Amino acid sequence: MSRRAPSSPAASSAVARSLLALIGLALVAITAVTVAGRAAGDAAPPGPAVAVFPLQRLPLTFSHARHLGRGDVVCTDCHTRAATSRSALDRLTPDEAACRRCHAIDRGQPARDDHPVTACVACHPGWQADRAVERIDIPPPAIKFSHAAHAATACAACHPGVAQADLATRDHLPRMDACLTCHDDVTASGACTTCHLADRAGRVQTALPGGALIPTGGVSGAAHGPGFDQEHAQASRGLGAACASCHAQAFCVDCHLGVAKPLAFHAGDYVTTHAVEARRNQPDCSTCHRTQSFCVGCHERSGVGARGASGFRTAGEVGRFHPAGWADAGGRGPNHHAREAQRNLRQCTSCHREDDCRACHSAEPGGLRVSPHGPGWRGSARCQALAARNGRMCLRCHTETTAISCD
Amino acid sequence: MSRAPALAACVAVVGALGVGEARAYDFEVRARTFGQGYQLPTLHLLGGELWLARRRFTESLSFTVWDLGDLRRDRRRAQPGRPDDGPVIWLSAHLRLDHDYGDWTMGAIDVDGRAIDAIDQVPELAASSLGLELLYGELAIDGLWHRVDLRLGRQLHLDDVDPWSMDGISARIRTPWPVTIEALAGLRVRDGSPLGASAVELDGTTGADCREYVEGPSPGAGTWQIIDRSRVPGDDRLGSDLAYCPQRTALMPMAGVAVEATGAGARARLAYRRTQSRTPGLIGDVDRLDHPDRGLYPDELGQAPAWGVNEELISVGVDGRWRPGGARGVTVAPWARARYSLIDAAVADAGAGVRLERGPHAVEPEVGYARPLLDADSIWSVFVTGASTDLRLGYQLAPRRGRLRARATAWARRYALPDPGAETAPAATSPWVGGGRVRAELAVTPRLRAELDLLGDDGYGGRRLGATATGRWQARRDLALTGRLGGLHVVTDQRASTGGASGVGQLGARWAIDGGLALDAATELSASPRAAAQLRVVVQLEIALEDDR
Repeated sequence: MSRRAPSSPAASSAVARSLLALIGLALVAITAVTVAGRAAGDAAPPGPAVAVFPLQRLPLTFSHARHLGRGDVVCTDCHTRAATSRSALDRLTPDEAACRRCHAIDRGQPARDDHPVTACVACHPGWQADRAVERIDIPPPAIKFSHAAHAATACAACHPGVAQADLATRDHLPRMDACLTCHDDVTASGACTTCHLADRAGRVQTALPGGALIPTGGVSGAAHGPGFDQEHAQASRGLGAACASCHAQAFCVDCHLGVAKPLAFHAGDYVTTHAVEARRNQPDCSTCHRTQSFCVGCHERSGVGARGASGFRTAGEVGRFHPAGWADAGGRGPNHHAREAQRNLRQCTSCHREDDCRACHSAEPGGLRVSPHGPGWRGSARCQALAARNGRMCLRCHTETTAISCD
Repeated sequence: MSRAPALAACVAVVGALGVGEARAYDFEVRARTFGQGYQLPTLHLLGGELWLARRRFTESLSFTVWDLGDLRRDRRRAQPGRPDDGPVIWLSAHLRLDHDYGDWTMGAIDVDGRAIDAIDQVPELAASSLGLELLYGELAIDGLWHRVDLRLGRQLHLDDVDPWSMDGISARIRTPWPVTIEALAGLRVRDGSPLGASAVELDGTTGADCREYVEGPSPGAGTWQIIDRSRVPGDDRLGSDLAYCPQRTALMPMAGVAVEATGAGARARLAYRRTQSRTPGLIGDVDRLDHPDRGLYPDELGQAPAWGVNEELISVGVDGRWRPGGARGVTVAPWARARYSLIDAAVADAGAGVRLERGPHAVEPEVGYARPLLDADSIWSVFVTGASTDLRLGYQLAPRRGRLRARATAWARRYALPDPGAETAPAATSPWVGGGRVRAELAVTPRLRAELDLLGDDGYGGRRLGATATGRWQARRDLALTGRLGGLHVVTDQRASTGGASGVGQLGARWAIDGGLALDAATELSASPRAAAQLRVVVQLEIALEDDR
């Protein structure tokens, strides 16, 4: 069996250097990611989530700033149905009739211009007489909203900057931060489905025509970014954890108690390479696997365990799984298993059954009586707690007829 | 699980569903059919490895029926706008049939020149040979007296670090104050429970090679002998003939209570949970053996207690979330938690950390502590065990508008050995281990995403360096393609043959055939020093149905 060099000051130093290098690598990566993120963020399409407010096509020339800047125009002059609208599906963009109240549009004279403007091309860029007017396309948002219920709220509170903008785009649609200033479970309901579409179970619909609705953080810190599939433990149990708002329990079961290995999670020849992570229990294998059934069954079948067909029981150094001196009862040599067992007992339980350990560690008559308890066991709180709560387990090794005691 | 109780449970469920008049209810049904094919190696040091096939078929069915009795519907009619002003009853369940018909599980193992069913030689394989599992199946009554939520039936919990399940009743009571009280009682689900799953059972014991104490000529002179020694392995390849262990089939009553208080952006929770089981008495007839038969444990002088506690935990947790600087300030979300095992009179695990968010950036420093926690019926519960202490630092970039999202994590762990005797031996490896991982995702276009995953760690266990690049392309509205390339270099500190460089390529597609019908197919080709090429194929058909009323 080949091993890396035993630990020594030089080896420890090498490990320390490796750790420092890794931390350095992480810091460099963080910096690079931050810089790149800033750059990429600048190029990102503006506005709220596309899944909620799908991308729009607005072939229109219009200036909210010029209209509202007159001082005698208010939003509802043009958006006449906004104050009474009770559904986000209502079309609230003004039609031509709303414009005609000020603009003397004459479809018989499309090129005629006046003041205020009346020519078709003034508002419909690229307009040509022999071609149909290019229509605006504003897909219905995947949200529940009643303008009427928010009539007391200033338009600019939810549509910030629109008074200074020309064309109102997705960038002027509300973001969740603005909603949460009132929807804080005190002033107004903070339930997700107050605004988000719900399925029959009352969960948020995440598969929407505009794309998947994915948390970006902010509300509960549960931004579903890269790596969230493996590092969501605290987000799932922290204050405000809202997993059940979107996910049914079956969703959790699919991974935590699943029978199909997600290809992205344990990619490649993980059967071979998992040993490093398993010995560290990093990530925690027990969140999905039970060592005394899942791990033992696989290890026994693959020949790593003690009972299946295996090449490891052949004589000589090659045929050993553990190095020579691994289970010496007479003394602890450099390869003795005590250190590994104490470091992470779970790695032992992933191959061995209890009887393997009892062969030496049992205190029954005729046994080797090698105590597995460690120093200070007798009289310890742990001994007393175990004996008081599950004394039968003690009998697995202590078969003597005298009463078992921690004193 | 044993098949007789499973069959009985199925008959009971089918019978119960067949009783009464059929009514139209809101429902949600999701069925998934998996087919998997791949190979796993059996290690042969000489002459190369033998690869055995896994051919796995899995059918899972989850369903929910809402508003049983039409209570909510009737209220909506009577009091429009107040449909939730009263109780709502619903039923939810998740059933799974799993069968591995490949040689890995259904084949034979050569033992001393004699071919024995693999499942008899390795009874733990029974978990995947043929399983019919009810992962959860609960009747829920929410909003009872406006304050109480009840759950009856099999309840699955995925809390802290392990999944566990219970057949019983639980209640959640919302008091007039910002305090919630929870209580539960029932039978903990075991592998041997009707439609039980081994994955939710307490860890540390196995049903294989289960032994009983057979008295000798004088008290204390007995020996432990395999319980099943009188049995002869049969030809049933769907179940192990040698997995019989009365302690593992004993009923396991459990109870728990929790109090949770919330307010001012913070929450505190204190919980207690206890699981115990009766000590089995005589196994079979008293005169079954030539020697006096005293049961599973030696009990000549009445040492064996009638009951034993398998798990007893107190857990405490506090967390909060504040934004002291307003909408543009830093969000502070600290947390701390600990679990204390009354069985071990020791802290089982603990952790504390804080998440600091500002804009798209979040930093998460945390510290953790853990030691193994096992079923108190396991002898490993009395072994001297060390603990590990973790230091972690995470960074997350999650802009709402940006195209790039990323997460970086650096961590270090130190293992402490409690027995100085173990330290006297020259160490083969360092007690330290640490590593880092960076994952980034870039939305190249609205339809194309690219992901990069870099990892590196070193120390106890070995050294790993790896990189994975993934591309996801929404080719059409109903078709998504995923491609992945990765490489990993491993140097283990134990067995060099398990190290080396390996590579993997994956290709997957998801075709949304219709609103509730989707087909997933994925294939993986990997190469490593042990196998020039391994192919793995997974196909999934997903059907989701709900009423269209």
